[in-house]
Amino acid sequence: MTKLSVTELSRDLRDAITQLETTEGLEKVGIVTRVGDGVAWVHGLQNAGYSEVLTIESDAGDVEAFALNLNEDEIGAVLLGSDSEVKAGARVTLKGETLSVPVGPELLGRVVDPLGRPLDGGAPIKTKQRGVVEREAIGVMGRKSVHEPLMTGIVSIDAMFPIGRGQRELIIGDRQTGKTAIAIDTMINQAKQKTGVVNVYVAVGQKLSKIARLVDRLKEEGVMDQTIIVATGPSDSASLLYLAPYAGTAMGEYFRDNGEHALMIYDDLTKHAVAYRQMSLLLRRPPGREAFPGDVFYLHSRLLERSAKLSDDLGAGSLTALPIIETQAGDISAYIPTNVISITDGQIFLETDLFYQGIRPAISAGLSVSRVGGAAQTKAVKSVGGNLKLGLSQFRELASFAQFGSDLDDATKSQIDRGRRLTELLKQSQYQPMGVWEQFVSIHAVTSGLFDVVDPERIKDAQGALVAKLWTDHKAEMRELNKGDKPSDDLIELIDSVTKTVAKGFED
Amino acid sequence: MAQRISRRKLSEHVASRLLNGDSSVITQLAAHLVETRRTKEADLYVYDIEATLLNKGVVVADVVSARHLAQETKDAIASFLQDSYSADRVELRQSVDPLLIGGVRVGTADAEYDASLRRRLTKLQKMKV
Repeated sequence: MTKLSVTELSRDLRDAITQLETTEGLEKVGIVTRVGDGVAWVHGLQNAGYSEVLTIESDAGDVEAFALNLNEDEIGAVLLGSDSEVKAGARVTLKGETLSVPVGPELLGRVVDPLGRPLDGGAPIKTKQRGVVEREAIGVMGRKSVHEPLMTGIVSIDAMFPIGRGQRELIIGDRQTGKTAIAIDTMINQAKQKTGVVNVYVAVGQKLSKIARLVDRLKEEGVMDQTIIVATGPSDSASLLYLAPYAGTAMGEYFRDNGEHALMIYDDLTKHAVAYRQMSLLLRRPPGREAFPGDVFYLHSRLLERSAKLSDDLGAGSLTALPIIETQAGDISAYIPTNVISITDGQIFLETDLFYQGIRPAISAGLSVSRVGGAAQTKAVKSVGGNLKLGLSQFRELASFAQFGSDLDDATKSQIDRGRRLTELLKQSQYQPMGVWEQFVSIHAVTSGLFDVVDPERIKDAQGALVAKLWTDHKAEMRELNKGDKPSDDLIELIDSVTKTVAKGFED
Repeated sequence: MAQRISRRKLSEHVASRLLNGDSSVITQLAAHLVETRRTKEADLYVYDIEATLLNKGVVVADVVSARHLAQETKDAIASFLQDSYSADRVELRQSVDPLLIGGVRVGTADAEYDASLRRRLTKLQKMKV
C-alpha cells in the first residue's frame, strides 16, 4: 500500500486549487431574447435555480437579475438594475448563488438600499457576514412562546394590546391616521428605555422626503445608533421594492440569531404587494383576485414567519415584526388586509374618525387585538390595565346612548365620566413614549377613581403634574416600578397619597 | 385551436431524427416555423437542437479565432470538448474574427469557453485596472 504523506497531500491539494483558480473552464451561458419593464427573458441556462442571481453583460457594465420564472423554453428574470442598459442578445451567466445582503452591527446607524448599498453618503459598508435574502423560517423546535414585553411606550397599546418580543402585530388603518407614528414612537422608546432592541425600518416605496425626515428625527432622538433603515423610493424598480422587506429581515435575523432582540417595521406591505403584483403580471403569471397573483398570501406569510422568539438553545434572541397595511376607507375586509390580519398575531386598527376627533393615537379599542401579548405584558401595567379595554368599550357604548337623553342615573353618569377621563388619558403626543412607571401611575390614577375629582378637560395636565411630582420626590421608587414588577402595597399607598394631593390641585 | 408545442419538445424530436440520419426533418421544421409564424425563433431552435444533441453525446461547437487555427489546435479543442462533455462525437464550426485580437472562443449550445485576448482586455477594463 502506498504510504500517504501529509506534506505531499497538502501540496497536491494546493496545486489542484491553483489550477482550478487559473483555468477557465466551460462557462454556462444564455442569451437575452427580450427585455422590457424591468424583466429580461433569457434563453439557455437550463440549470438555473429559482431565485438564482444572473449576470447580464452590457456595454455599461454587468447588470444583475434574479430568476423567478423557470419555464420550459426560457427564464423570466427580474432586473436589479436599469433595463435600458440591457439589450437583446446580451450574454447571461449564472452567479451560482441566491441573493444575499451584508449583515452585522456595521449596518447600525446606516441607510441602505435592499442590496445593502449605502444611501446616506457615508463610507462603504464592510461587514464580516452576508445573509441570504430568502431564507426559510425557523422550525417549531427552535422557537419559544412569546413572554418578554416589547414596550412601545404608547399607553393604549402597552395597556390594552401588549406586544411581546417575537410577536407579529399589524398596524392597520387608512392613510394619515398615524400608522408610521406608532412605529416611530416604538423605535424611539427602545432607545429611551435602553432596551437594547435593534430597530430595522423597511421603507417600501416611501417618499424619499419622508425617509429623510424620519432619519433626522431618529438622529435627534438618539435612536439612529441602534437603527438600520432599508429605503426604497417610489421611483425604484418593482424588484427592489419586492426585495426590501426580505433584505431587511435578513439584517434583523443577524441580531436574532446572535441572542439579541430586533424590531422589524415594514412600511408598508400594501405597497409591497402592489410591487409584487406588477412583477408577476410582467412575468405573465396568471392574475387572481384584484389582479394579485395566486401566491400573494405566501409572499407575506413566508416573510412574517421569520419573526420569532428563539428557544434558549438557539440563544433566546427574538425578531418582532410591526407590519403596516394601508386600508381604503377603513375596509379591513379587502384582500391584502385580510391576508395579513390572518398571518399576524393581532392588529392595531387606527380609525380616521377618532383621529379627527383629536383622539391620537386613533386606536380602535373594538377592532384591535393582541393574540399573544398578554403573556408578555409587564406585571405592573397588567395589574392596572386589565379592565381598560372593556371599560373603554362600555364607555363608548354608553356615551352613544347618552346622546339621546340627559336623564341618566348616577352610576351611568360616573361610568361615562370615568370613560371620558380614560379617553383623555390615553391621548398621547407623538415622540413622547412613556416608561412603565409613568403608564402605571397614569392609569392607576384614573381607574382607582382618585382622579374623579379632576375635570376630564384637565386630565392631561393632572397626569403631567403627577408624573413630575413622583419623579421629583420619589425617583428611587419610580425606578424600581419601571422594572415592571407588580408594585407592593406600600408603593401603591405612596402613589395614592401623591395622586390625591395632585388631584386636589385640579379640583373643579 | 391547436396547442402550441414547446420549443424544447420540438427540438428533441428534430435532434433524434437527425441522429437517425433523417435530414428531411429540417425542411419540415422550416415549414412548421413559417406556418406558425415563428421564423424569428429559428436561432433559438438551433441552440435547442444543439443542446439536445449535446445530451445525446454529440457536441456541435463554434470555434472563433483571430486567425486560422492549426490542425493540432483544432484537435486539442475537440479533445477538450470530448472530455468536458464525455461526448462520442465532436463537430467544430470554425470562423475567423480579427476583433478577438488573439486567442480562441469556443461556444457550445449551453456553454462558452472564451480565451480570447479581447475578453481578457474587457475584463481588465471592467476591473478598472
